[in-house]
Amino acid sequence: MKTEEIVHLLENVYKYNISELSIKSGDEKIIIKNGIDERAVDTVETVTERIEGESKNRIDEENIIKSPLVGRFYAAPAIGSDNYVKVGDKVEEGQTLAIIEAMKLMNEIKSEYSGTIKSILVKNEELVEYGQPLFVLV
Amino acid sequence: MFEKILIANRGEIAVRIIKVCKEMGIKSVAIYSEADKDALHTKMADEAICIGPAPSGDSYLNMENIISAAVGTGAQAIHPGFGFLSENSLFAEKCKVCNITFIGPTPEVICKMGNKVEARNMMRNAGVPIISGSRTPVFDVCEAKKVALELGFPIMIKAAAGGGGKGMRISNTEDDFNENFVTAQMEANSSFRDGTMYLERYIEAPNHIEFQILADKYGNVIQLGERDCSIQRHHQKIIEEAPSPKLSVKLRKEMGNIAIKVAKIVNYEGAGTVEFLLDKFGKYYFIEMNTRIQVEHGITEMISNVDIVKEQIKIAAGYSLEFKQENILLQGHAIECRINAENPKMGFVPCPGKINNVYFPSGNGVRIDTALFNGCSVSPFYDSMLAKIIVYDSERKKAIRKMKNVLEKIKIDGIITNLEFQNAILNHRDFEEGNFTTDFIVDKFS
Amino acid sequence: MNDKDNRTDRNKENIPAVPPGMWIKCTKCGKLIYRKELEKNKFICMKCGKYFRMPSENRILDIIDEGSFVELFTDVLDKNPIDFPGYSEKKEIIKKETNLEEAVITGKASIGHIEVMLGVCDTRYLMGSMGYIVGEKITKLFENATKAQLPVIMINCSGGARMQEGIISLMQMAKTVDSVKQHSDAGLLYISVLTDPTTGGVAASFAMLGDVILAEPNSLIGFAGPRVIEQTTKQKLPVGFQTSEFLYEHGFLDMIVIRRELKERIYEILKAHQKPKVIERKRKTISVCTFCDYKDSWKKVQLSRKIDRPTTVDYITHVFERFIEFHGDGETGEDQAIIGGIAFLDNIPVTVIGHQKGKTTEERIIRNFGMAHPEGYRKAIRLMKEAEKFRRPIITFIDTPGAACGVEAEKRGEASAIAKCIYEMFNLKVPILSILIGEGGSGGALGLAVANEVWAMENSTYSILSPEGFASILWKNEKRAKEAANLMKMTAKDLLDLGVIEKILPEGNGASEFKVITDFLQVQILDFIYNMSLKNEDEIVASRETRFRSF
Repeated sequence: MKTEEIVHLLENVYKYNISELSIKSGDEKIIIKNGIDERAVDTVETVTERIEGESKNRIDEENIIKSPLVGRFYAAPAIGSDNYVKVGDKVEEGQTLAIIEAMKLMNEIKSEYSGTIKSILVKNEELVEYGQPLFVLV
Repeated sequence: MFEKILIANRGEIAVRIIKVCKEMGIKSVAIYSEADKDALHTKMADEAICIGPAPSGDSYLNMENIISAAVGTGAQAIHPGFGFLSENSLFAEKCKVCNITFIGPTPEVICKMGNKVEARNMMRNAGVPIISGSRTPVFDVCEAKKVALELGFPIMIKAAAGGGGKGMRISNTEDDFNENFVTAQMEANSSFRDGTMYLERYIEAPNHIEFQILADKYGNVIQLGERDCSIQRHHQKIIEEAPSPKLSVKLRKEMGNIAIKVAKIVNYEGAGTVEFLLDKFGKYYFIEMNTRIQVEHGITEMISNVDIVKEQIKIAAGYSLEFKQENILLQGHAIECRINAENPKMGFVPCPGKINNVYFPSGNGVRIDTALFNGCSVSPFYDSMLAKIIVYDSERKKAIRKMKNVLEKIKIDGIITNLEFQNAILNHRDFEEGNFTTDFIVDKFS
Repeated sequence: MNDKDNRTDRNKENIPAVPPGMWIKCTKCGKLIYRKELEKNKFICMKCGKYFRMPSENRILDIIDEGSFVELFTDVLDKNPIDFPGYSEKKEIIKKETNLEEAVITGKASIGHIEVMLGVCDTRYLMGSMGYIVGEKITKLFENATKAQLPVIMINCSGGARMQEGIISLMQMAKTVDSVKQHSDAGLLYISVLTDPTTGGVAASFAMLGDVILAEPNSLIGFAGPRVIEQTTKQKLPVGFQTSEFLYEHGFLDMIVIRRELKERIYEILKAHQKPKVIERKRKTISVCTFCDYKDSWKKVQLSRKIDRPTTVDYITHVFERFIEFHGDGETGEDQAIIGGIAFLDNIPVTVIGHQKGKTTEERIIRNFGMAHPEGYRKAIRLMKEAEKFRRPIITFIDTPGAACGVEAEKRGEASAIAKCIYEMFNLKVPILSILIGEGGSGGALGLAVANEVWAMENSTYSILSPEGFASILWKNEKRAKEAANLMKMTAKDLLDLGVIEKILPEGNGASEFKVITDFLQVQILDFIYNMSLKNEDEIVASRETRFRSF
């Protein structure tokens, strides 16, 4: 992939506040992550890696937390309070990651795995559908 | 008018409703299960929300997820289509509570018509002809036999909670009554956990005639004529036509008026269907009212030139009916064949699978309602209906000929269908002559 | 900007939104439940079956005949007996929130056309705790029921005595119990239904004093709350501790009843406790079965022990109708080796009790082969006294190799339990009939057989102990059991000759003729009941005493 293409992608990732983007072409794969990590606020981190046996294993280790219902996603327990988790946080199995509001009831989304939050795939107050990936854990 | 409607259904009816929305300039929201990710309705709507895994109990019947999807996308109305939640009064009530318009009658009306014993009693009291039967539910075989002897044989034993032929038996004589009653009740108990039974006189070899009704919120009710749905197998319709070859002009008018009366008795609103049985002596009996759009509504649209789905939406949005009964002119003849993914040689077992290549012919007076496309899959989780082939012509004979031509040209590669079986029915002399009853398939094809 | 805002306002009516409070979340399965649907489903989660606590007004509608409820005792004056700060204000707030006047609703109603006095507690009002008003209303309920000769049904749920009323709350326990006692002394029925939670001062007073105590499944029932026990004892409590099932196992519940069946069960119990109608002599024609007499006593012993012999349950279900089984001794446990309850014979309610051996291997193990522990005999006494209170004849079925033999049985006082059973049976003012249907093994058999008349099925036995035991004690040789059997005079014929029994009932060809046997038995028992109905209470007691004095 040409450098200007990558720069263009980076600009768009930043502009549209995309948290993660991965593009695969041939044996080349580009993953762009929009870190919301304290250390790297507003920075864009790019990772280029070759898709080979080794890296595949890494992807297998990624665990995705999906939405169990249709509703509105809230990253924090209440307006004005801190988010439950942010990228880079270590979480334990059973820990609350977010809430999804449905029928005026708050449903806590609990982590099914222990690990580190790699990315958060939805924005606060977004409508999420059944089975929609919410968090990537490594 | 609504700005956005959520379609709580799948398959061809969802596609049909989305198309109407587009025609009316209304945004559409599709809902889909994980199995329908690539389905036509999912792709065609302006928005699509996944509401659950493949089994319909967790997706297309998941009221909370569907309502959340409507609230979340800002859809002001929900069109339930047919099947699934279309006749669920609780769903209609939940929509109402959430300030979402349920496109259909009120929860109270759905509830009233859904309770078959209550609906029958209500109609009897209003002077609508019904099949004579037990006025109150029966539970006990001895008590039931007394009622049966009063009503006369043959007699139909039905579960109050029944459906799909379960808990239903026909007793021909006094001698086989006890046995039939007990097995029907056992079946009812195991299928519905409810052994409440009722009895009614059994009408031999009737025709199934239904009238299409439209009613607005202001008490205006019209009927769009009848459909003859007598070609059935296992109580499932497979060919419908409008008008019925069995009705005289006079009888049509009389039954049409009764259908309007039925709708008025319950303060009906929306599109509905009043079903009758017509016996061989030309006597008719109200059986039930379906409070939703029917699968076979297309044939009525062909002969009446009224778009029933569009009318449903307009009525729900509070518009009054644009036409009066005298404006309705029924012309020509329309036939519908339901093409199902099933094997007629193996007791009509559903045959899901992947469709490699599909072709439907078109032409004057040919309408195909389907959600199929090349490379799509027919899921084992849902109904096996693939397409509704509707043809229209000036008279019945011509319509049959047209249908035969269309069926011949249809190609559906990859799965087994009932196309050939449909052809065989169309070619049967009795069908061609309009000489059939609900026993047709059992009598001629088993 | 302004323009936009106005537009949103205008459109507000059309915006779909979920109103708050219409849906609730199941605390067990987490599913979202539409409140009205839950209400229709009797407050049971449609998805996972969890029982939600039921508001009193729904509970009343659920168990009574439609429109039959008349609320009573609403005029009890409010009190703040120890001037607890903020108490009155708190009550005002709860009243507004719940629309409840107090933690119990009392009144009169009918269930299946039987008139009852009904009290229903409500946990929404200060956890259903009992203060002056609750105590007073319940006391008045029982007092009025006593006056009007009506049964009382209490649907209980409460955290206990109300803290804010201090010692006065504690006094309510005594006050209510006395009103229950007076109601009971008047020979009236009290059905107590325990629901989640029934603890503390309510559990330790009127709630545990029902003639019949029912409970909903998996309800918390106990005296001290589980948290208090855990903190005090520093012990981790076992799973299922203080649940209905736990109490049932320990003998304190007659029955665990699912919510859907509560009304039906209450109705059946009410019906079974109605005063029996005047007993008439009925003459039924029956086909008589024949005696198949074996001379050999050992053969009889073998027949009496035959594995496929009809058991007590078979007799109960074939001779009687609508058997309602009650469980537990009300003291320590529930023993399945003895079953008992109320059944109907030609619409006359009778109490039936018997040893139950079991029909399958699994059942036989659960039933301990019909060898009862002390709690079995204590349950029998409890049920017999209940029968006496409601003037019901008692029929017992004897079929046991003997009482349970083991460390646990001795620890809990097997000898004492049997002795008391014999003692109490002499006291009962209602007629008792005992029928030997299989093995009548020793004291374990006699424990249920101190009757006005004792009958024996043709192939049953009754003896001081088993022929094997007899041989081993007398001759130190168990193998000589056959010989012993002939000497012991234990067959029905021997017993009749000795005057130990009044009657032998033919068995015909056994199982194939069981219907004939039970029809015959039915007529015989009806005759017995009729004959005894001609005697007064003293005569009944005296005739039993005379019968056993003669030995």
